[in-house]
Amino acid sequence: MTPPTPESILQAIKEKHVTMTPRWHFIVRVSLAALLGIFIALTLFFLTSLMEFFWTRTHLNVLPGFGGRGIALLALRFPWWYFVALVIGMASLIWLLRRFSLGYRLPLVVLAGGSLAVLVAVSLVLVRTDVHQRLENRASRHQLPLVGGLYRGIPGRIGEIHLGTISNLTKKGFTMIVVDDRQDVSITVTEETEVPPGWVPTVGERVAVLSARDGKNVTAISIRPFWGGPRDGFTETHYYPPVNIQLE
Amino acid sequence: MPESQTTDEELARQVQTGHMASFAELVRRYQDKLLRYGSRFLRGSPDVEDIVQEVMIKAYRNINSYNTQQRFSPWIYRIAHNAFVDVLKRRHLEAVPFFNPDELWPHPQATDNPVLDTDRTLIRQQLEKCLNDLAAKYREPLVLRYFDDLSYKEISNILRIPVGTVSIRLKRGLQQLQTIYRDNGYHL
Repeated sequence: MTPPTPESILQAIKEKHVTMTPRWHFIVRVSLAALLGIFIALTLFFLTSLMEFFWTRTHLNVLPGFGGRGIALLALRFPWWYFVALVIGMASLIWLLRRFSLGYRLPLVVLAGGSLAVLVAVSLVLVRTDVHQRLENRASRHQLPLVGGLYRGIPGRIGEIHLGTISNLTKKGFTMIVVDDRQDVSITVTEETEVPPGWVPTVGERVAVLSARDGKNVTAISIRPFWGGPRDGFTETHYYPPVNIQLE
Repeated sequence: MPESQTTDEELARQVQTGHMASFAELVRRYQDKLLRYGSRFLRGSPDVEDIVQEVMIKAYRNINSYNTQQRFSPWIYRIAHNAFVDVLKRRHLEAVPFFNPDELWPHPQATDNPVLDTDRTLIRQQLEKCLNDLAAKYREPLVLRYFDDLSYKEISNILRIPVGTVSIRLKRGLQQLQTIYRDNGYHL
């Protein structure tokens, strides 16, 4: 075939009735892409901060402190679908950003790392406001459409973790006021109960107990002193720090 | 101003206002360049003329997406790149990976490197002889750099990869070229 000439190309344009796509079409396309990017970013901010809220709200944050057993329980109880949604959301956002010069001019690691840093920073700011608490309250009254189910799906407490303040010492162990329902629960400490070396319970001390709760009686599998705060559900202003720990 | 002195960008702006003669001038300026780019990148594909004609038609159809504040050549080369990569994929001529690991990390060399360009004539000669043996990901930036004289930034905009990656591909491509050249029995 002979190389195309300008005349043959113009002829082909005429014959195929090729028309210029109007400018507004491209403006709409770019605007839609930008809107989609903003939507994905906002969804990611919401989901990440919700995951952080869920993390403390269900006391998953104390589990790594219990060592291997706690980490295994964490792996079992962790809301992995949030994580999968975050990975998919991040991948979509990066794919979208790489369609623009701002995105493709950066190495992928820098783009992904930067996006992740912004995501974490904004989510940490968001979770320090009471927005999720207020949304959860509205969701519990069924006044939150669309995302209400996410909040109602958050279990109030994961059965195996109990946070509270020791209220009294007993022959079998101690009683403690649990942060989630303010009930005084009896904790039984047995020879099998795993505690930090040299630890002795003190009234007023905040602790995390790992066990299967049976009504108001708990046989502890593992106990850890816990330096918790209001975000973990502790409301009293005065507490005894865990001074009795004697490390071997 | 005669058309020959009018810039590509000004011609493209005129096309956007419906001036077909300006588009003819743009075709005149770019068809040979794109034919050379296509035949080198597609390793002498017999229907490169048809593909370039389609590229020109596509450029005309999408001319309103071109921002006249930016250079015209990377814009039309980008359309050509997409068309050529589509051909490679469609005909399974060569593996075109969705993602290349060299786009992952930052590379220190991120500006035009005069050291790499010391002997353009020699590099062109070597490329003409060994082009078909080079992998597509190295072949394309080498063609754009040494035959079409595009800058690193322009190649970055055409291939949509970081400038540092352009630099590293050119460097590795040249190393691969030297090896192939030697292996084929040519003397450096």
